Amino acid sequence: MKILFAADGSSFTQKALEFLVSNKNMLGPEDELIVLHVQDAISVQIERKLGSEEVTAYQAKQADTVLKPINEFLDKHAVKYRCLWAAGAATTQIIEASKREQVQMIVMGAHGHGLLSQVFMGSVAQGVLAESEIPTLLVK
Amino acid sequence: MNKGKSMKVLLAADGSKHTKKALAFLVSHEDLFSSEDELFVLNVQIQVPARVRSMLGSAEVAAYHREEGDKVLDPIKKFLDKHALNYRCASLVGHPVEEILKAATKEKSELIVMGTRGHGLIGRTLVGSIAQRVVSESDIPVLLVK
Repeated sequence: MKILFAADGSSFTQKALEFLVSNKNMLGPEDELIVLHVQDAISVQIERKLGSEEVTAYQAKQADTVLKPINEFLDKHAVKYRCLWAAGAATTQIIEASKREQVQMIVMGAHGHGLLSQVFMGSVAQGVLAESEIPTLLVK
Repeated sequence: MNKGKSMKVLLAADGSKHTKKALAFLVSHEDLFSSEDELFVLNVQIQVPARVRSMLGSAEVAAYHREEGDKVLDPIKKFLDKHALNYRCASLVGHPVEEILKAATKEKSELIVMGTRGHGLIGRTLVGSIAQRVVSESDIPVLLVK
């Protein structure tokens, strides 16, 4: 199975990874995990001021801090994976990547970073559930 | 490469088309669910109002719930038998969210699978209220199938 894993670097990211590798066969040798991290878009004014190269370099660095521990974890567990990052609206980027990569399932945290979000389902998770046609695994 | 343990999965079945899709998804991905894993299928029915209960008598009401439960579970049993999977079924009466969470704890489930929406008339809501509450109150991962 091909799975898209949306990683925001919150505590759910680690929990989702552990769930994926701890259950037999969920990520076997024939499966593939696409790890996607979405960075917030940076406003046009700032981008104009700094130059798009500078902005991209900053975002790449930020994405790297989220993706590097994931890389290390997945290497240790001998999982076949690829890491990607994108900038923009998280829901849109996740849906687009799921279509482009033709994954069969999306895995993500039920909540994001916010405090209030502990109570409700996160807005990104809600958006993904509403727009995606494929099953979504929400990890707490 | 990854030798984990077998998994215990709870499927909340309401008999809607989402139940069918969830089942189809589970059996079509052996990497997700295989014959070594354990599936507990739970159908929760909402209690008949007290007034109706006293009108019909509890025997009649129990028979009604049993019949409704069979309507949901019989096709699921047939489907799972055909795929030679390891499962148990139960049908009970109560509040769906509470019963699903209770069963997940009792069965030591590691994953809950359910539809994003059930039978509800308001098909436009993005995520059904039962799915929402299960996601927010459960400690284990929830797989929502559309």
